[in-house]
This record gives sequence, structure tokens and C-alpha cells, in this order.
Amino acid sequence: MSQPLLYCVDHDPVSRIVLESMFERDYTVESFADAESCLARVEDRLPDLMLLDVELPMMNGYGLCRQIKSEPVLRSIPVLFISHDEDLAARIEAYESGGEDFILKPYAVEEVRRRVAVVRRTLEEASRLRGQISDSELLSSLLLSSMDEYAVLIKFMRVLNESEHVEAIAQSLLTMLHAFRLKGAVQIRDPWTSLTLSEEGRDRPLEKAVIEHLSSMERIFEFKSRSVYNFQHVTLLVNNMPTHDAELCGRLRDHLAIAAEMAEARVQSVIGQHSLQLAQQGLAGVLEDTSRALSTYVDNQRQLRKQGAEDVQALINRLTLSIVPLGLNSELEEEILELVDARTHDILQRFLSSDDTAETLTSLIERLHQVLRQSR
Amino acid sequence: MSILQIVYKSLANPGLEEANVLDILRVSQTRNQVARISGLLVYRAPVFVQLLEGPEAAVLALYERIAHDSRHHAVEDIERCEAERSAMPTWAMGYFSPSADAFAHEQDWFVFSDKQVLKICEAMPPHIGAPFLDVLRAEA
Repeated sequence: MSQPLLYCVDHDPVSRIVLESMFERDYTVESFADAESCLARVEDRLPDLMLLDVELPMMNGYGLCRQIKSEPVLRSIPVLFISHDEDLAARIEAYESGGEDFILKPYAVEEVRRRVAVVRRTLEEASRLRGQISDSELLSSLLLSSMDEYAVLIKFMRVLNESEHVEAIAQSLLTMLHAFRLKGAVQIRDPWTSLTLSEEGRDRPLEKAVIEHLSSMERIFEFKSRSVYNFQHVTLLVNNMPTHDAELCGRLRDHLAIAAEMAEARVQSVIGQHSLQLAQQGLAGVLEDTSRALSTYVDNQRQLRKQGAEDVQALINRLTLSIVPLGLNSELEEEILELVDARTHDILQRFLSSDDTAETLTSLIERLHQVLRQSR
Repeated sequence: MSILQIVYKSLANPGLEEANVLDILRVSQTRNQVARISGLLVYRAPVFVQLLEGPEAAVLALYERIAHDSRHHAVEDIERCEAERSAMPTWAMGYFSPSADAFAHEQDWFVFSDKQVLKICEAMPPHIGAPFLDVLRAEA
């Protein structure tokens, strides 16, 4: 099988050689000193992945990426940016131009390799995700019947209410965006993990970083053709609001705000259910441990009583045999034996009376088992 | 913001184990990244040539530690200058020695081959690359 093809575009010759050296074991690497020579080569042969330096001599890396992403044939090629620029603005521009990740230069060799691997995996998942969206019953019915915007919203709510986990919630928001002819991404943050989903893939590094930053901003805000809806656990980012149509834009803004709020409520409900399940699992564990400890205790007590009774009986037998050589008269002998018999009988009775406690504990164990069966 | 670049040369002490050099480099990858130091280390027994570059204070502190390391001697400054950009694009230290392959792990991506390191040094600014090329070509 042929190796995947990697294009590296960097104006710095040392950087090009280092990138070639890093990837030549697993990729066929071609390097370019500028965007123009890379674009010319792309017309002949499509790469599987591109690493672009931002600071290129004529057209910069963002411009090159925009060109790549504007061509339907090329847009699925993953692009990773490499730049000296640490500013957030650089990352946002990288995201806006369609890049998958942003690596700060100078970089660690291992880190670049790892991030390239992550992007490739993400892109593979993305194609699967796109398949799911286009196949969904909701989408096909919406596109076929050209329902109005409220119908889209109602359909979304219906699917949302059936969503049992955060991925399904994120997926329902994406499907709704698709039905509104919008593109964007959803991030859902629960106490255990964070999920960023778009049609382009799941947890794309640059998208995730940008939305994490946006999530700390206002509840609803817009910049250029983008709009963002922030709730505690949900951030919805729309990249292509129809800003040319103010009326439509206003209606969509209202719908999206409602949808994001509904998704937030659903996420809270899912979190609550999951927390309850975890608490129930914890309680079930405690109940099982308690039940086991009580059973062991009751068994030990039974064993103790049995052993005690046997020991006392052995003592009486031994005493009866031992008393003969003492030469006591029969009355005194009988008196001693009666005394010992009476006292040992008392001891045995006390042992037996503790069976009441065992019965109580046995009943408690049975009740614990019933609770455990009901909690499953 | 400009950075400091130092190129030095030194001689390995007798008995130096190259496996130990690689162990140290593996640990220093993370440390260098945190300190934002990049560079290149070439070892052709018994000669070391190393480029250290990054924020001035971090580079000077690292150089001070290296200069007093008991595994080498005759440490000699060859180049010390300021630059706008680092010559090497990786924070971690690139490494080359003809015998590195015998000790390097598969995951030691910072270890370059002789062809790779020769190309890197030829592409560097001459005042940085020349000391490396002298050593590489002298043995070739």
C-alpha cells in the first residue's frame, strides 16, 4: 500500500527539512517554499494532509487554506497551521480559514506527529458523521417537505427529547443547523468530559480551542457572519448566518437561541440522570458490602454457638469422669453435678437467646437483597 | 523579541556512554520545551557541537549547567549572537551521531539521520551551520 502524501509549505528551508525528516518514515513528503508552487502542484496531485506555515512570502498560509477549502474537490484535505504567532487572533483566523489545528513554532517533534495523527483520525470520523447526518430520518423528511422554520424547530425538539446522551444532543443540534442551511459546531461540556462536534468531525483541535474560548464570552453575540449561543453546558457556533437578509437572520437568531436553551435543559437532565445512576451504583455497592458483612457475622455467630454448646457438653462429661476418683459420697457428687448442669444450662440458654439477634439480622439481609434487586 | 543563540564545541570524557547521552536528551526534551529552548546537538566521538537558542536567561542558565557537566571537557564558545527567529523550528533538541541508531528507541523522533542533519546544517545561516559542517565533513 502506498504511503499517504503530505505537503509541507514553509518559507524556511531548515523547517522544511525538519518536517521532511519527521514524516518521511510514514509519509511521502513534498515541500514547497511558497503557496503558489503548492497550489500549482495540488492541481496535479492531491495530498492527504497539508502542513502550512502561516508566514509565507506572497499569499500567506491562511490565504492558501481558504483557496483549498473553497474548492469542493480539495476541501476535505486536512490542513494544520504552523506559526510563530501566539495570539488568539491568529488561531481564530486559522479556524476561519478552515484549518484543523494550529501548532506553535518552535514545536516539539513528538507533538507535531501526535497532532497530525489526531487530525487524520478526526477526519476519518468526520466522513462517518457526515454519512449519519445525511441519512437521518429527520433531515431527509425536512428537506423533502420543505417545512417551515417552526417545523424544523419542533422536529428538533422531538429528536432532542429522545436523546439519551450528549452526543445525540449535539447531533440533533447539528441536524437542525443543516435543516436551516446553516453550518457550525456544537460543544457540550458535562462534569466528566467535553464534546465538540461539527460536520467536519469530532473534537477537532482548533475548533475545540476556539469554541472553548468563545464559551467564556457573552450569552449571545455575533461577529462577522458568525453567531454564538452560550449556556452553562452548551455552546452553539454558527459560521454562516445569512447577514444579507436581516429579517431571516433575526428569525434564525431567535430559533437558535431557543434551540440552544432547550439543548441546555436536556443536557442538564442527562447529567442529572447520569449522576443519579452513579449514586445508585454507589449505594448498591454499599448495600452489597453491608449484606455480605452481615451474612458473615451471622455465620460466625452460629458457628460460635455450636462450638460453645459442644465445649460445655464436653466439660460436663469430663467432670463426671473426673469426680469419681475423688471418693466423694454420692449426695455430694450429685449436688456438684447438678450445680454444674444448672449453670451450663444457663450459659447454653444465653447462647440460644442470641439467636433472636441472628433472626433480626437475617431478616435485614433479606430486605437488603430485595432493595438491591429493585435498584437494578 | 530577539533570542540568544550559542554554538559551542566540547570533547567527550573517556568512557562516555552514548546510551546515557540519549537518556539525558529524552528527559531534556520536555525541559527544553518548557524553557522554550531549541537547538541541535551533533556528536562525532569525541567531539560535541551544540546549538542552544531561546530566551536569553533560559539559554544562559542551560549553558552554565552544560559547561560544568563532568561528561565532557574543553568547552569552547564558537558563536554567541542575537537573532529574531530560531534557526531550528523545534523546541526539543535535535540530535545526531553516527552510532545513535544503536541506542535510539523507535519513538526517539528527535534523532536525525546523517543525511538529514547534513541538509539541516547546510540550510542554516552560515555562522550557525558552519561549525556543525566542519565536524560532519571532517569525518565523512
